[in-house]
Amino acid sequence: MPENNRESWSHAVLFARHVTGLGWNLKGDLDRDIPCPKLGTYKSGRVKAHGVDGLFEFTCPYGGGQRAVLLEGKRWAFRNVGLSNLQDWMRTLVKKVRDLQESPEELYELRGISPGTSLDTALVAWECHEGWDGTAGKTLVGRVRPGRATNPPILALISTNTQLTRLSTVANLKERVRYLEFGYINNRGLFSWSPVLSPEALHSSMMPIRTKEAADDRWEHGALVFAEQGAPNPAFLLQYLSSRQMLSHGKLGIQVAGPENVVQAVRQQVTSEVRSVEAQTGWSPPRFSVVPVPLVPFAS
Amino acid sequence: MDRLPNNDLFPTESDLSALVADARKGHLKGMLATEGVFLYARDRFLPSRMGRFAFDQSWYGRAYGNLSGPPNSRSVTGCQGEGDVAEFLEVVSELADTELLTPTPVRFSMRPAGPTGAVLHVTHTEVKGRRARRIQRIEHEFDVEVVAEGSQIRILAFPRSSKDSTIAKALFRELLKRGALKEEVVDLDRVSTRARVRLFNRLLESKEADEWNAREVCGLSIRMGETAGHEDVEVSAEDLKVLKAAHLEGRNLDRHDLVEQLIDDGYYFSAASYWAACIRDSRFSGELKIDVGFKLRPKVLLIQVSAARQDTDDGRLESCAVPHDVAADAMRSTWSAVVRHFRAVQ
Repeated sequence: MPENNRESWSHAVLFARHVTGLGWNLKGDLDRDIPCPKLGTYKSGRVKAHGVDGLFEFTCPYGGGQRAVLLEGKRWAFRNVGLSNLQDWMRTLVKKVRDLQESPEELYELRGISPGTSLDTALVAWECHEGWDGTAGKTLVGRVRPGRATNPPILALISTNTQLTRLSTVANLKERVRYLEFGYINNRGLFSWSPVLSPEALHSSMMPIRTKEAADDRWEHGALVFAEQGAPNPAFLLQYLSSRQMLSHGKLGIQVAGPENVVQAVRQQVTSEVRSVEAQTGWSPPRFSVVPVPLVPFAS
Repeated sequence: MDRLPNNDLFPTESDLSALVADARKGHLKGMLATEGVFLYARDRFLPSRMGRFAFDQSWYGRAYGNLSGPPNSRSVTGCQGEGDVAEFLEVVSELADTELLTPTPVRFSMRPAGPTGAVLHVTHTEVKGRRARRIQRIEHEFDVEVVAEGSQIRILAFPRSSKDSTIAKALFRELLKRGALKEEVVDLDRVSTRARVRLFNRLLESKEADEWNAREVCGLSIRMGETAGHEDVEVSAEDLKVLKAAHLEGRNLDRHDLVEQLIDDGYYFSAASYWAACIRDSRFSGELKIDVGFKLRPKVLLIQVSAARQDTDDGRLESCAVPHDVAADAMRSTWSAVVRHFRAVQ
């Protein structure tokens, strides 16, 4: 069944709870209108408003400035969602972002967004609470097409159960280890750590991470790999870690979120690949460990 | 699984630049969409924005693999003329050893197909990704069917890219130049300017006698009559709108004020592009985009099936791969229709 207001609200609350633990700041309340002069006025003179499920701000790990994300929460069963729904959700949300980009005063005044913040991301979080089919869902979302290019560019994301489960999993990991940071290549091409989970990282299947359980502990470096569909190619994974300058650490913990047999496969393949590269090149690899991470469903 | 070029490298930003430069944009957007990612950005921003994501290897394999793989759409281009098939094949075999007209080295091989036909296998090499380290030398290949029916020889090329299409047209031009094919059936120069307009008018009108009926006119090209050296001129968008409206209303193009004016100014229609649906073919329920034009010199009839579309569940028309066999039949059928209409307007 399509969402009702209460379900939509609880869905947005859960999303907000997860992301606020991962470096995002909720600006204003959830599920509140933002007046937008671009929409015109009612006869009474009151400015019309965009309904907004959530507005978040965080320090962008790529550019270093403040960045804002507009959230639209959807809780719909799989059978009730078609291509036109997805297209409509995304285009409506992107239009809201565009409108608010052009008249940001309300954002500054009502939501406490700091001037200079770049509102450039629209995120539709579709929690499918009934009948979710990962493959069919991917195909369906893959048929959505963005509209024309915008200036400044806008990133629109449709986060389905796949990405929302990853979000819950990362949030759960954060709760367990207490200190969790993510590795990014910033706009200057330099590698840096940030406690913020970027929207791009949320839609990535692997990310460099470092963790520690107490402020005085040393960071433990590694990567978080989502392997819901199968083990990643070990050579590709090593190349990825190399491109993120992770292979210079003495110890690397690969945290694999996926079924137990996949974790086993990753363990064997990575060990074998490392030995093979070591034998061929004389390279002294870091000490790898592969540990399972439980996938935590996103359930509001 | 598709393999990434250069030993499974995780792509750098320059690799992604090469991908954005070389890939078909629709394919790339579709690939990003499967990950729930939609970038409303100009092309120059795409590599840096895409570099923020890390998808699994199969994603990059598919994205890069598509550069060398066959595109979804496959068009059919062809021409037909009178000739002796033995002489024709002899000329073709002479051409097989030459570098044909294009700067790209082209090679042919020929094999017989049935008692009166042959298939030319054309290969040429394209270099992609020059600006980045993922330089790919991509071997393209396509077939050209030669079919003889009595004194008529029909050549059907099945190009997979615009480059293939250019080479196919160069081949047609060369065969005509060398006299292997004499196109006498549809010689646009033999009829008056008004008859040329009538020819396109009849073709675009839905006639039960034509298997493939025009449903939507996409474009019309006009050419200045009787004067050599004039290139095709696209009918302006505004005028095309008027002509499309006239076509939809069933008004004859040759009696339309705008067309009258064009004829008075010395122009005639030289090409038309339209979506057509088949009234009899049960293999394909969608529409094919058919381009009919007289574009070479001498004015050879060329027919191309360049795209296909089908109804989706929600009632929209969505592009799909051109069905090879249906497109070839559509081309043959449209050819016959053009010849029939040509005879009628003479």
